[in-house]
Amino acid sequence: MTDEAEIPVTERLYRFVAAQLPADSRLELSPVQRMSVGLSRENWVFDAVWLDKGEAVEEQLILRRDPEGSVLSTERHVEVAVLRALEHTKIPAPRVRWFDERGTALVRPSVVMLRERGECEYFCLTSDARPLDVRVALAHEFVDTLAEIARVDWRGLGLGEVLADPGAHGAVAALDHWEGELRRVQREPLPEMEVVLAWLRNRAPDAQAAVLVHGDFKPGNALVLGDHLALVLDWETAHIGDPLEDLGWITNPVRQREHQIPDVWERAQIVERWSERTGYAVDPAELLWWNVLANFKLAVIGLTGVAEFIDLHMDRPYNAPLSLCRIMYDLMGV
Amino acid sequence: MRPTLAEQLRGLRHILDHVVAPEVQGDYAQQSLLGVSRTLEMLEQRAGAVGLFLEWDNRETHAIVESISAHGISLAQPVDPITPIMTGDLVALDGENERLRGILAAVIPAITDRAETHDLHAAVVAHLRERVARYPYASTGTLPSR
Repeated sequence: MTDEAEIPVTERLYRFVAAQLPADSRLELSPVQRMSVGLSRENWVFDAVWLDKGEAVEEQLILRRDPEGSVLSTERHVEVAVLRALEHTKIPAPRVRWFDERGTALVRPSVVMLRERGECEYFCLTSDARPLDVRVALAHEFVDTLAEIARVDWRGLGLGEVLADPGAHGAVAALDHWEGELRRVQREPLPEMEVVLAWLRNRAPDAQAAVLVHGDFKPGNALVLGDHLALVLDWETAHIGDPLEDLGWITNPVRQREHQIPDVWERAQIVERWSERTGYAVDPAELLWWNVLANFKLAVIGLTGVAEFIDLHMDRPYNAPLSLCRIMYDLMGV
Repeated sequence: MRPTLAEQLRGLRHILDHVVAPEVQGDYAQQSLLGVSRTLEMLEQRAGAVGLFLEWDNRETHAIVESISAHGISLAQPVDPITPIMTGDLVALDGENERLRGILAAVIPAITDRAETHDLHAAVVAHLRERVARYPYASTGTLPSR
């Protein structure tokens, strides 16, 4: 008799998908392959074919399952609620097909989504694969989409029921969250991080509004089809927060190779277009605060990897991301 | 002592790269193995520097927390260790490093954004910058940087 714990993911997935369909669906799955991309979730791609009232249905799908160890601790039911709400907007977000919230069928919480067309290109803005004018137009699409996210009527979509509203205190809420994560994962005293934390704590700005924040917006979390942005991926850190949070994330100097085109599409142009599209003013000191917070968050994510590696839950080696502290000190002017 | 630590790490990496890796199927497993191999290479080059690094950092951190204490700022615990540390005892050096850095970490809010502790704060940051520069281990990520 097979031990339930040893059932491979392929078989579990078949059972799970079959359970979502009528009994006579004659479900067939293509070989299920685990992708190496993604640090926070397991990604398994597969195709499914079944009969619906006698008609053949074929879908390309992706299973995103919580891994044993992850660099991010997030709640799947929140991500799914955000994705389902976004189906009623112009934001190009993944469509949820089925959801195993408690991991009853797939061991750990899992979401099956439709696999959309397009390529994940980390450096689509700087790579020479496209002419400059095409890359600039693509960069505009990225920022316009980010602005659109900040303009989502999250209250009208009912997201206030699953996401906490920090009101004007989005900065303090974000800092509290990432300090909490730091305390949860740090395995040794880190005075480097305490220097940054004290600086951030003493300068946390008030927000102009509370908006939907993606939390990890970048070309590496998007699909590009042809020369256009087709889909914004990885909504697991979406929350309600300060409008400048996502802008601080994409203008983080550490990430400029992903978000900027030298001499043509740099910080000033990004800020100007985003401000124009959202209607929110951008105070340089506040944006700097969010740039530092972006790196603090990156460092905490790296330290989460270290903790998971120490606990033997991580499939990749991790070391302390201390070099980010020097970058933060430079930004802070200390 | 042969094989030395570095030679053993290099030998293990050779086995993984030339014997195990060609037999590994699947993109995910291949990338994981690549990460292991790169980390072994990093350790082979840098592990020998850990003892000297810890001795240096303990000496400097001890001096900094002493100077903070001399300014009348109370510390979470006494600066001096209960027992002396033997040179080359990595476990004891690591333990002392954690103890001293714990004292330093706890006192940082008290010296931040205060005119009278500006120089102390600058000295702490200068030391931490130097520590980051000297840190013997390095990340060996196999994916595009986040």
